[in-house]
Amino acid sequence: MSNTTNIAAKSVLSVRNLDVTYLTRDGAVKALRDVSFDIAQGETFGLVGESGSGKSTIALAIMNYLGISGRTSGVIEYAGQDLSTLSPKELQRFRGAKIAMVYQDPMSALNPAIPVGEQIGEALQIHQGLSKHEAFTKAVDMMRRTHIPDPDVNAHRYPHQLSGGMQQRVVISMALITNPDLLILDEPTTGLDVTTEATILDLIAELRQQFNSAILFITHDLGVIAQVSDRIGVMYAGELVETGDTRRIFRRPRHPYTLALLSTAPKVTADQLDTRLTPIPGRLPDLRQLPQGCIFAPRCQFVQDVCREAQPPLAATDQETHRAACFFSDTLPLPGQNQAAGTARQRKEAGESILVADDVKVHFRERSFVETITRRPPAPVRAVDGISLTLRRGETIGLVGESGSGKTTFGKALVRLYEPSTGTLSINGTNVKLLSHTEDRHIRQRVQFIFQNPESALNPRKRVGHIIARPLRLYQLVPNSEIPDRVAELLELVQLRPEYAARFPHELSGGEKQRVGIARAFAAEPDIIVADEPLSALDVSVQASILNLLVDLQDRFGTAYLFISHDLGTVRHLCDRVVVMYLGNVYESGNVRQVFAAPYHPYTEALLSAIPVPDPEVSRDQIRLEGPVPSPRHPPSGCKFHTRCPRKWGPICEQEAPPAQEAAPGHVIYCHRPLDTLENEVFARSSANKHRKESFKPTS
Amino acid sequence: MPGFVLKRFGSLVLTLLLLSLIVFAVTQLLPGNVAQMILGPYASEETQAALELQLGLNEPLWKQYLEWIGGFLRGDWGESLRLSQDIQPILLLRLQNSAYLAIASLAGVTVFGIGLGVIAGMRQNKPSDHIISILAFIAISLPAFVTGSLLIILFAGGVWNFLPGSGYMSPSEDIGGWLLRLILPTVTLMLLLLAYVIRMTRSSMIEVLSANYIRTARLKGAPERVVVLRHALRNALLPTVTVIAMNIGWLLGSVVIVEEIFSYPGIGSLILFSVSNRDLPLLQASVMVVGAITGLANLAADIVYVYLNPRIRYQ
Amino acid sequence: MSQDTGLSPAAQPLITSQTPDGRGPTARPRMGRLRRLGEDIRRTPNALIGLAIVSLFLILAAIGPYIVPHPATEMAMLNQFAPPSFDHPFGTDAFGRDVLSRIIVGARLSFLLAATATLFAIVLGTPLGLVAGYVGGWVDEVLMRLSDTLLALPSIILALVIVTTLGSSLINVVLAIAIVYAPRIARVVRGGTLALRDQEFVQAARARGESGSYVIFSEILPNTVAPLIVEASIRMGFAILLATSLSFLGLGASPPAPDWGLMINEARLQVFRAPWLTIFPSIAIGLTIVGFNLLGDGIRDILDPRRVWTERKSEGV
Repeated sequence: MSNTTNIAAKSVLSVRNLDVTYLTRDGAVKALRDVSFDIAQGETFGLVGESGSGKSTIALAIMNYLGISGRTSGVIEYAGQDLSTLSPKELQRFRGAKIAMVYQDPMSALNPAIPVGEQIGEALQIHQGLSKHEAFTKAVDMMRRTHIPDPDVNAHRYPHQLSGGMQQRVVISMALITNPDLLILDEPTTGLDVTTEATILDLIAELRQQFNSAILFITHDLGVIAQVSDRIGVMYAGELVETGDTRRIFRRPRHPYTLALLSTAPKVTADQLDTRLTPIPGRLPDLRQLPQGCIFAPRCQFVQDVCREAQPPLAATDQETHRAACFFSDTLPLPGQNQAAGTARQRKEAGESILVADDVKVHFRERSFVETITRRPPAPVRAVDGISLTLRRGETIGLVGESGSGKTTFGKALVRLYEPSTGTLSINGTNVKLLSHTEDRHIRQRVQFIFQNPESALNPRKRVGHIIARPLRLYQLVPNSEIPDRVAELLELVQLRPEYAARFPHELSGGEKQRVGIARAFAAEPDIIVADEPLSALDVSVQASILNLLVDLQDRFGTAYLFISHDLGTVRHLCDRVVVMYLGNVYESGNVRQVFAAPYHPYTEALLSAIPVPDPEVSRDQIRLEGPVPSPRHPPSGCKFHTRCPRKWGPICEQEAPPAQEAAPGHVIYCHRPLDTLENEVFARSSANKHRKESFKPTS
Repeated sequence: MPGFVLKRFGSLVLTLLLLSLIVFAVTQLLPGNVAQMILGPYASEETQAALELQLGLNEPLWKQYLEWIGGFLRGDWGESLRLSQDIQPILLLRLQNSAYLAIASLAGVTVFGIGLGVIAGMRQNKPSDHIISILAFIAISLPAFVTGSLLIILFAGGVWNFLPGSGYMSPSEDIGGWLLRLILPTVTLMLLLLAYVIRMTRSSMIEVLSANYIRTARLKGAPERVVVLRHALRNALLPTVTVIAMNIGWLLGSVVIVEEIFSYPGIGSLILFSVSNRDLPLLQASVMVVGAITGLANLAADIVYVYLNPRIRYQ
Repeated sequence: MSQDTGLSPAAQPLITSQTPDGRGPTARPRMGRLRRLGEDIRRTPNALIGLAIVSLFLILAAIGPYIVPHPATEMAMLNQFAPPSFDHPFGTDAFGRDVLSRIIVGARLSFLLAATATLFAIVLGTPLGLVAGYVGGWVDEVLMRLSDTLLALPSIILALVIVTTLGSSLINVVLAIAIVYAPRIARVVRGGTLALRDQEFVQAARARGESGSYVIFSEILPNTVAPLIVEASIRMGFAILLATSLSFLGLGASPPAPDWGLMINEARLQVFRAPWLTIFPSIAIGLTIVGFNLLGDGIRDILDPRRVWTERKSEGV
């Protein structure tokens, strides 16, 4: 599998037949098997895969930093030298000087006790022998190039004093300061807000033009990889299953896994409302006991007998540079074609309103015992600052916004994990504030919550059966004797086998745990379910099946959903109406089609344009929000968005709260800008965008 | 930062007030009263009543408490029942003697504890680490009276005989003799804390060395020396330094035993004396002093921690 | 700053030699829990050694008086200060009593003292810690100020004051140790509760409308059991340390009880003439405490989900 000589000539990095095995107490984990690829100067090679695919192991193997239990074989050639054979001393000359890395979670990648300027400059001291002062000066220059505001001041700050986006800019500056030949970016935007992610991706695109480094970009996000890479490699369970030109792979994927990945995620651009998603069945194989034959065969919808016996080589498809490890790569359908099976969803009409929130505010006052006596209480955190919303039976409202927008707090106020400071909350026409103990429990039964993190949503000391049975007992929904049967029924409802009742949560995968969480919510037979980012902790291939499950259950039981999400694609797929929140207030609301089309609130517009679209042909819009969300303790005056608004109308934005403007029946935008200008802006931008795209694209 | 110190100081004052209440309550719980203790069992009822009146024992409890705590704050710590002297000068002298022990131990703990802990942490699972860790583990499991007794057998007569096993000599009298007599008590006192600090430093070092920012530093090409000295040590020593400061109070507890073994005239043996002789005013005063020192040491630990930790310093 | 100010080294959990790994627990393959436990213990030699020492100690405490070569208080004035011999492997003391027998019989006393004190401390400290951590607010403030006050005194001095107040007896020594350690246990439990309180499964219970006592006892408490077992084991060691220290100072056990601390105290006058009187009880004390410490550390290692043996981070495995 080493016949890629045509690009090896100018390649900066050449990986050949790389195997990595971790020795663990449960056996040898074959984390990488026979991986080969090249990256040429100035080229960006994207590695995409779900967790467990081995993509980060590749990065660490290149850096020769696998730890004591990692065993490598194969060749990792940089500038004619096999990095895997170098001694630690020799490696030091390459690390940071020739090959630099940018990490996920910048906060933990930066030393908390050293000012960031010193950390950026340190590589110059080590590799070029500069003095501390000279290095610091260069670091400040570098910070300017990565658009860190006030670099002279910020260079003296410690990491925790900077926002997440700024921290990642610092890490990028740190990597680029020696002008390395190869830059490895390992999930550099994962965990950042979508608006921050967009600005970081812009920065990376800009730096690609300035620096001539080869880039290895690792991510799980198809949208991100489509936007940044020239070529991509798709990883699955430790193998490279497909590699080739980015546009081509997105247009003509030749491996069933790539095809499945592309069709499984809901897209924010395409109108695919009312269609079902195609999830990838099954789960990742155990890397200690690999199945014979094709690694993807157990989950492949095109599987044939031969796939289970022989392993397909990564072979050229109809184009020499596009390779796929599949026997049937030339007969695979194109994306979109294999979804004919999806049946249209029958949407029911929404019923009567069952939840009414009227000007609900949740303010947190944190003060200690001593402070209560001695000092003036500090300003409250205005997490939710006046939200009115009506949810009708059987409908789904999507609640979107950046982190810090108060959407989760509002969701938790609905199940009264927080009591509203002011405003009223009525469920089934009953004001929840004025309830007796029994009534309270009865109302709580009507509203259930699905949590973001399936790892922590289930008590690790309780069996699944017990967890699901608890609402049945608490609300006395079925006689005690029937509880086991009901639990089995509920497990079946979420497509888990009844034996799962005897298991503990740690014996379940993430997707299975989330199913248990859903079963627990439905056990209470609620009218309303508040789902707080129920998919964000899951892999793409699992997300689709959970999303389908939620849709099916809603169709069956007519439950209303309040779906909290930062993922606008999912919201567009699932929701009837959308509410856009910023700093505790609603800035736009309407049905899905209205909100996802012009006119937009400037904030919605920015959110939409920040989403990396998994289609390399679509150019990225250029509405960017700089800086972090202001503190909800001291929110800006007037329109809270005015400090970051790219379309600020005038001084009035700083003085008065924006008025509600009805763009269409049911579609409300809170903005000082007249509606027609909001519409015009969008048109102007679209055309400018086309122009820019043509001049921007490098010749290929 | 000043706000933080003020807040912590406030809670220290509160803690000490509570402590004084408890100490005062303890004396009320004891059978018999101070007048009885002074006069002994054979005094007549009249003399006892007269003394009770003179000492204010008939006053309501809150008044007695205010009287006592007020006096304590003004520097009037009362008179010892058994020594028939003002408590303050005795207590301060004994405290000074104990301070020699405590300071010497603290210095030893800081130097050896951090040094050995860092070595063990850097060489995790190598022979040098195993030796240090096992010795520390044994040392942390031995009570001071056991190590003290064994040290006496070993160095003060049983096996070898070159260190004095008991007694005290004032430094003004003979500085050499003073130092010589400090050695065994100091070693006994520091052994347990030393073991603890070694273990603490080691695990903190191991934790820091596995942090992501250490990976960052290594993948920056930094030589191991820079990784350890510049990136790891600062963060790893943060908890250690705090723990050392925090345990000044603990040392004051251990001196009770160490001073008993080595017949060393410090505040520990004074407390023991007041306990075995039921000398209440002396016990009250000593306990309050020890509580105050412990509290101040903890306050210092907090301040040091905040000062060393930029994450808290610049909030 | 951690709230654990004022804890003596003896009071703070021993920090284990673990390398924390970023990954949480991954779905373990389903296998017998007992088999898994057995395997865990085998992979943790510390726990094994600790278990052996503690078992030996427990057996001696249980059957000691029936197997000793000589009754523990049998005096033989003609045979005083006999050095170790075949008949008296650990020698004899000032009254000609057999030291080995006294140590064996003393195990029961040490165990009963330490176990009851630890039990009391846990029974006292656990609910306080749970309530302080879960309820928070002024309840937490008040409980923590109180525990600060008790922690402001070094444990030995606090125990001295308590025993002096209540009078010197074994029961009072037990009470004193319990009072000394209860706030420390309360702090450990409170810390655990604070971490658990914001976990989503606790929020789920609250959102369901569960009562406060259900949340505390059914959701939170089961998750604090594991750290409490670790704490109890290490605390046992320290309770023995404190109890023997007190009896060394002449509080608690009184002659002719075969108490280890008392034995060392009585031996002080003959420290050079009959060093075995000091050495053998010292070994007994040290060994027992080492045993409990090893066991506690071992249990912690086994229970620690972050535990890694040889593997470094390997994706999703």
